[in-house]
Amino acid sequence: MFKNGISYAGTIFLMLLTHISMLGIVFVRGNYGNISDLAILAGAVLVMDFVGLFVMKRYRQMTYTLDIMLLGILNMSLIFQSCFGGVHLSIKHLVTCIAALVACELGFLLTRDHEWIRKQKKFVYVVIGLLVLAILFLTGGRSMWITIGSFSIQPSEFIKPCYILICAASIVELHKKVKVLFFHVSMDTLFMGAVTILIFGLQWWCRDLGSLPTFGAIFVCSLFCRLCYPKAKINKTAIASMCVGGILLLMIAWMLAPAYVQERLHVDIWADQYGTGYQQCQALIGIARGGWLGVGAGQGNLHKVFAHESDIVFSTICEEWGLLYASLTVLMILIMLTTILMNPPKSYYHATMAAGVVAAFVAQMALNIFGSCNMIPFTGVTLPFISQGGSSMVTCGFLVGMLKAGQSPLFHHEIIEITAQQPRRRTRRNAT
Amino acid sequence: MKSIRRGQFLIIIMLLIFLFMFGILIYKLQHESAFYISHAHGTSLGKVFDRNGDVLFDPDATAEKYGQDYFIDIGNLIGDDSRQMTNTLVAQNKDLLANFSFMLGEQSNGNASIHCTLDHDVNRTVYDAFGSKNGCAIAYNYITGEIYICLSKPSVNILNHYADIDSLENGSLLCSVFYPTVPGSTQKIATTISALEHMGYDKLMSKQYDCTGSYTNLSDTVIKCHQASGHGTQNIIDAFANSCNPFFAQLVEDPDWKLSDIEETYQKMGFCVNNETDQTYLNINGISAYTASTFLTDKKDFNTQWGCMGQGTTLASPLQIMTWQSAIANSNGVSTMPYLIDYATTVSGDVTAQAKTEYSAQMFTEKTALNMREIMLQNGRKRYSNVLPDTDIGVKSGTAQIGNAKTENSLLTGFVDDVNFPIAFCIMIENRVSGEVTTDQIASVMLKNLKDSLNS
Amino acid sequence: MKELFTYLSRLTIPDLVLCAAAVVILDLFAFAVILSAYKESNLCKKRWEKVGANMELRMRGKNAEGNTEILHFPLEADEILLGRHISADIRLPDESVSRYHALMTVTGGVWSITDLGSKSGTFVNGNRIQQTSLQSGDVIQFGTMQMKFTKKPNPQRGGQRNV
Repeated sequence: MFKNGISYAGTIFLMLLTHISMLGIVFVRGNYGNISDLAILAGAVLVMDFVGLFVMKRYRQMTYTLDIMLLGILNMSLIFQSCFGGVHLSIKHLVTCIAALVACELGFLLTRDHEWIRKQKKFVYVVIGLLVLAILFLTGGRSMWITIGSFSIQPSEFIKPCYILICAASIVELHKKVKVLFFHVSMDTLFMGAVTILIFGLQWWCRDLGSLPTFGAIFVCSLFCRLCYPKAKINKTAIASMCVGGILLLMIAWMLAPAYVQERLHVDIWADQYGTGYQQCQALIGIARGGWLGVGAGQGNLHKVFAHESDIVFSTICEEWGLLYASLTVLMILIMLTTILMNPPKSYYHATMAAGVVAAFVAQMALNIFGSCNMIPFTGVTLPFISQGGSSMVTCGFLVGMLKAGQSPLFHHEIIEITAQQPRRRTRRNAT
Repeated sequence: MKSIRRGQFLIIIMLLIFLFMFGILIYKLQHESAFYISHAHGTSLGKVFDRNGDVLFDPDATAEKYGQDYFIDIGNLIGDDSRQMTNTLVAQNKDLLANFSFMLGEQSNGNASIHCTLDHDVNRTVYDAFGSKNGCAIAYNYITGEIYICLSKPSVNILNHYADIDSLENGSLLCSVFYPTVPGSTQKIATTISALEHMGYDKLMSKQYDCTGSYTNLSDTVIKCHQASGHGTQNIIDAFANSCNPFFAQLVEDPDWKLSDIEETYQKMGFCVNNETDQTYLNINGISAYTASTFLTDKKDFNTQWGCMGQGTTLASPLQIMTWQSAIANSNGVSTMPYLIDYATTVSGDVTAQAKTEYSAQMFTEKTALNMREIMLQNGRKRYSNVLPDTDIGVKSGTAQIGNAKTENSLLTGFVDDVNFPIAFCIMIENRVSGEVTTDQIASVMLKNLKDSLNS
Repeated sequence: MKELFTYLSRLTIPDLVLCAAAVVILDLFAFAVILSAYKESNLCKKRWEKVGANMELRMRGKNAEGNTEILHFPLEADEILLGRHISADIRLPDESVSRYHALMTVTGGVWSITDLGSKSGTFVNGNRIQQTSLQSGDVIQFGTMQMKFTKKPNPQRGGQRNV
């Protein structure tokens, strides 16, 4: 299987054991009418595991840890989602999980080569443009959803990886600075700034304020990386002025924010427990009821609350599986992000991309978890990998693919080619 | 590669911030979970006990178990978990009562409970002493702050589960102790304190004004005295005892002090003067008590003068009037803050929420407190010596005209001058007409029974 | 503590064992993942040596103790910034070197160098260049500093054979 000389047998075994132990908990503590429901779920999970591993084997990558983790987390999420309010395989989530795995490979293949992506950058701009147009004209006015039949697509989700890609790909172009008025800037920075303003304006226009902080985090990260490159030193003045500017921007946003946002920022959810605070109150009550070990899969009450499978999914898992297990699941996602620290990328393009991906994930997780638990305003974004929702899952898969690209930008055979190529390198190409 | 390392540094910072916030979240969930669960439907709640172990609230209470009107005297103070009343002890402290902890989950037979400072037996006796009259009474230990007596009539019988809500008397669902009412002449305590504070005892004692039954003030309006024949020439001690309105009108007009002096003392005592401060005076274990308020415009003004005598626009809650007594009784100018919850127990039986005595800021000087105390004690010795035999009490009575003098509320506030029985109190009888039960009779019943109960 | 005991005593055995087992397994999974990520990082380092053609820059200079000897600068990323600035990947603390002097990049095992508009220029084997690919043995000059682009002295696996 794995040609890189590392045995992944233990990791894979433990991943399978994790899923089996979860299914065991469902078997003992779960709420299922018919044992066949559980059997179908178990079958689906294990088949997805094995098929996933089999497909992985076909790829001669350098690293597999991220793939194994992604498979593990997606199947955990499938078990979570299939147990809300009673055990039954969630076909929809299964399909989106598979889509996420495919998107991961896609993201990996598309983003691993920065020479190539730099040449294709204009297409990324085109994709963003198309997505923006889709939001403007297909969502039916000031909404963020495109509804086709029973499916809803959220185009703004797909903008996230494109945006990260642009931020990362244009960073090398900083060498090619031109003078515009009084400033030396590269054209790519200008393009990127324009795209940023366009995206932010669009989010503001269609009142998708939940995604704004995620884009904000990506933007701050890329800006930070830009300040560090190629003048790798962190420019203190620049950072200070950035902070001041950011605060000013936030204040302006605060003044201009629509009334319902302002209301949401300082609302006492318990004072309006059956009105606007209903979801959060129920979410917190659910967490309290679950305690450390939860009430058992499918035994909770939160599945009756709107958006239990997406916006307040952390609480739903807490109620049914316990805070301990839910926290560990979140920790698993974090560990997946930390693999980029343990196995750092060798290229600044990939490092910037990784920072953007981590920023997107962390911002979204924070918004979801802390928002539903009333620590910050409740915005209704999805929890990566865990929440139901096709657009979100596919995007998350794609983002993990970008992360993977940073760790393993080359296939096994490509490295052998490089090694074999070396003696041929004889001609000098002076381009003075 | 240094740039790459900086990117990683950025990632580490983001992850650390997230982890830090996640830690806070888990801590918060641990500590607030009882509060969350207390907002859920059908939460198992513990009981509330009084200082002697009598039950004040039982989620499973029935008329057979306790008797039909067992909870009547504390219905609108302790309340219940029905969400009908919100400013009650149970409604505000459901998190303490919830038989729940994050680790144990919900335990229907848990040990969660609240132990109150109230004395239910005496409370009930005082409630009955009101007879057919409505009103309220509150008494507390002015050294420690424990509230022993707190009742408001009309009250609600929680055992009826609000089936009779349409036929309940107006105000049954509110404990009027915590809500401002017209203080009547008890306000003269605050005015006297202000005078003592800004003129000094000797100067105030030297002031003598004449009362002929009415007084035409500097703005040519007439202030009438409740004694039509007048009180003659008096000093502050006589006038305080006589509750003489012309005397106090002339005192307010006196050129030796300014209106801002009165304003300053009032504000220090917690008055909201001319709508300038916050409306909540005190939070007693979650129960909101509202602050006193008045409007002062001009010393010569009819309404301002009446305001200083507890009529017109002046309002104060019986609770606040009572806490002023502690500042006088302790002779230090600092109020002892009252509380209702002595301690609570968690679901596993551990003691939590142990009460601590708290104090207000300095409201007036110790010297003023001492002089005021003497003035009130003299009044008590002269007129109220039969309230509690062999013990001095300092008191001030008041009659508050409500709704264009159609009805009169009778008030009595004061303190017991005994370190072994340090009680400050305030009693109000609504719409009292002569011949009916008096405030000093109720005070007498309250103090005698309370003394017996506390000593036993 | 008391609460913990009450808690444990009230749990049913299957519940406790199952939940504990699941948590432990998940922890072990996390641990295994971290372990394999570390193994991979070693692997990737070796792989990088192949991608980076096992090259390094060498120059005669003063080490930390002030003794003159041959200094080795490994090329550990696909973009290496050379300059006088403290934040440069390879720092050349000499006045003749610009703060951001040149950038070395590698693609498909071939290293190339780009001058970043330095004042004193970048020279490869004596020719002033803007951008050029490098091969083993080339001498690169930044200002007055001279460096040699060469194979690592103790190459692991294969690299030496190719020279």
